[in-house]
Amino acid sequence: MSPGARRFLLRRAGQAAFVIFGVACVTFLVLRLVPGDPARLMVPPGSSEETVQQIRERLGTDDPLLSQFWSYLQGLVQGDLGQSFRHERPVLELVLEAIPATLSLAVTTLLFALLVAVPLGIAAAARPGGLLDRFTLVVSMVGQSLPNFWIGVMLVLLFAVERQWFPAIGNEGAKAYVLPTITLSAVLIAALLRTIRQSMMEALHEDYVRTARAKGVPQRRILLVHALKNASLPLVTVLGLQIGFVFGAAFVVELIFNWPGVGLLTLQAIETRDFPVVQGVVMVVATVFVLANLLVDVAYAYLNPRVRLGLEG
Amino acid sequence: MDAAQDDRAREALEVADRKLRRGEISRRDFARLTSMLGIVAVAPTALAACGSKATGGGTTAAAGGGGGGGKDSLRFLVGESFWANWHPYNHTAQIGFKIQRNLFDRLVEVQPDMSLEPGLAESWRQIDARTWEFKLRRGVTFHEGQPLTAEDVKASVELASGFDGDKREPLAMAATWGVPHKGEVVDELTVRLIGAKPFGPLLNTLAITDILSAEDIARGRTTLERRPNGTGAFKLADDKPNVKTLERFDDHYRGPARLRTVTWEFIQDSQTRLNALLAGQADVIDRVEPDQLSLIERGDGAQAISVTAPEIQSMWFRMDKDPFGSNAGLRRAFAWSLDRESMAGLVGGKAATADSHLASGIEFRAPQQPAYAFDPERARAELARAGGPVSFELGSSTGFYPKSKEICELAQQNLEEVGFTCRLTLLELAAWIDMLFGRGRPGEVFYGGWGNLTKDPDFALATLLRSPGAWTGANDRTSDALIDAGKTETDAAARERTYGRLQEHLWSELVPAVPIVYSDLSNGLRDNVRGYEVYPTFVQDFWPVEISG
Repeated sequence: MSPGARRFLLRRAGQAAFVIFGVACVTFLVLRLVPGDPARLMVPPGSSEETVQQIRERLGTDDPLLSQFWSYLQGLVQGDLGQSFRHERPVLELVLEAIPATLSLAVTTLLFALLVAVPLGIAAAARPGGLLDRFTLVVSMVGQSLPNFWIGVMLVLLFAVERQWFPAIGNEGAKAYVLPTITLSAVLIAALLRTIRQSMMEALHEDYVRTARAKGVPQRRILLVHALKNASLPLVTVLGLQIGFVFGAAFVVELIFNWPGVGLLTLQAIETRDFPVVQGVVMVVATVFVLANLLVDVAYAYLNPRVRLGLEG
Repeated sequence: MDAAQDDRAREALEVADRKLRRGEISRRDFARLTSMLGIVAVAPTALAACGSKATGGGTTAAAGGGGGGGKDSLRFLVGESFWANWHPYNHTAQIGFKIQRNLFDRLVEVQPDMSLEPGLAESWRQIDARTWEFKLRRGVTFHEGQPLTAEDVKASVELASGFDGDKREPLAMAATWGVPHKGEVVDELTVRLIGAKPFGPLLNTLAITDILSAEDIARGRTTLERRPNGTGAFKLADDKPNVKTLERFDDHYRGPARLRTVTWEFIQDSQTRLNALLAGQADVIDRVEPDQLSLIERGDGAQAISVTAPEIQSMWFRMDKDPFGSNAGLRRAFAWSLDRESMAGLVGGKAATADSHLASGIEFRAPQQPAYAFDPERARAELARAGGPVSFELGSSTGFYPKSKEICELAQQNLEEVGFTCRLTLLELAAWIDMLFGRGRPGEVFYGGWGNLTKDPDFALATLLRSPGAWTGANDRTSDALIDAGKTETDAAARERTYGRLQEHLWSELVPAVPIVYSDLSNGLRDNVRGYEVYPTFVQDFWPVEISG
């Protein structure tokens, strides 16, 4: 690895660590500002103040804020996300139990979105103004206009309740992935479709494509080899940014389909003011998001020789 | 809702408003219409569904349909998270009482009509005002093999009633009992319970007191919190945060249950629970919202059972704060201001307008007068007599009690029409509980509910109104004395007189709250589920339930 690339990676890693630290601070503070005392929610309504105070002492929520924050940070650097107030289990254990469900849904969604968007986008760009192009424009407009919770509810009503082709809830078996994946990927397909179509159309007007055509290179090779590699740069950027969206939207989709992932875990933790669980999930998701973006930067440098040469020079 | 839908909704609202002003529709119909506009999002389901079926009460009968769990296993979706640990005496979680009903047994058992039947006790008799004797069934065993004896009942009641409890950190159940009871073993299967005072609600309280093993109790609180070891028809087979699997206990004294397993699964969103039921992935769901009843009725293979629950939703005054605490006239003006009939209409289902501070189905409840029918003129006159307009904050949770937001918005409109200045604060549940009991206790009125797990009036009244420590901050000698009298009388006729007087006092003199509505309690189930009954006390007994076909 060249010194420039190493410097670039170090700088990006430093920025990533700073972002993660910022997320830790903000999450910790925001949770303490929200009304709702976790201790009071753990005792029968109307319990005496002494009983509530005993719970606070046990949970550590009566310690000064700075002291709580310091213990939290100390735990974080040691990979300890704390103990759930409600479940009385390590948060990391709870998150690790829930994250495979969310990750599998996210990965299925990304793959499905790419499988649909890339061929459609290429085909649309190959014949601008054609029937397929118009169709992809409509698809992307509809996909971006409809909120995914609405799509989810409609899919459940039509294909689970009315037709009973797919399950309405849960994540058991391949069929269970169909409706949540379509729900979650609708917006993603729309975004990727527009991006790939646009960048392919730009690439197809470049000089090197004209030259390739003049040399008699077949259209298929021009599209899939010459144009696609350059057109995929913005696609990678959009994909990186959309990973955050997929995780965010997964929270809603998990609620609709009762998908046992981190979204459901977080929603329940917010309701019961289980601070360590909310903090833990946010930290894990933020770390995944930051790492994914770091990966995108690296991929960008790999795919774009100008970026790579710039780093090396 | 998109812009076009918004416009249509606004138009419909205007038409409804005009009709109301012209007297062509009642306020109740108006409230229903405006409520419907808010649920336009679920209309596609209603349109998609076809056919019609009546909503029943009582047990289930029809056949057909899919079912979610196979012939001898049932999947039950619940709307409350499993937030309590397994200590049966140290929580107030409805979900805890529901699941415990199947894991443990009690000396006496509540029936769907709220009557009491023998449970672990075959018979009982009152020896004197403070002493009761119970004869236990022979051959009852705990899930872990210990035989049930009088020692177990003695240890359980002494712990639950606070006789032998931790005084520094008392158990929640001790507050429900209120009167500590000592146990006295007469022989292996006969036990006497002796109260520190006479205790009128004894039998009803025993109906929610699970009998534990004396050995487990001796091991301490941690043992009881970690695992349930009861004599109930089911034992805990698998314990995950959101899913609890119960397996048939073959040695149960009533004989083995018909179902092999019952899986309890927490699904927070009511629409998701409903979808699972209609898709055939669940056999029974709880907390069906009244809006959803028609969707079940029109669907295929599922039905709903609704009852009026012994739960009151009320507007509670902070009795230790002005302007309402010191001014009964203002509280009465408030009561005359509310269109409670329309509010009951907003909730729908089997909800009914409240006519006493005792909930529907509670022993000794008697409808009270005046009815506090919506009367703005009278409310204005009462308000003027009580010292004129006042401003206050009304706090309510959203998303917990059905239609609480809509009810409070209608209340705000009603009150402002009369001359009150009402600031409405809507909060999610955790923040609302903080508002209710946290430091500073902001707000002057709050909207909330109280569900009764027993039919004894003492259960609600002692907690909500007995000073000190009343939820409402009330400190009223008359009601305190009557609550105490009701608690310590054991003669039914005397208790009826006491609670009659107490209801009159609360309704027309003290007015510590304005009861709004007795709640609807609806469950949904597949048509092939038989023997399932909705208990108004919120519990479920899966012992007699089976899945046919």
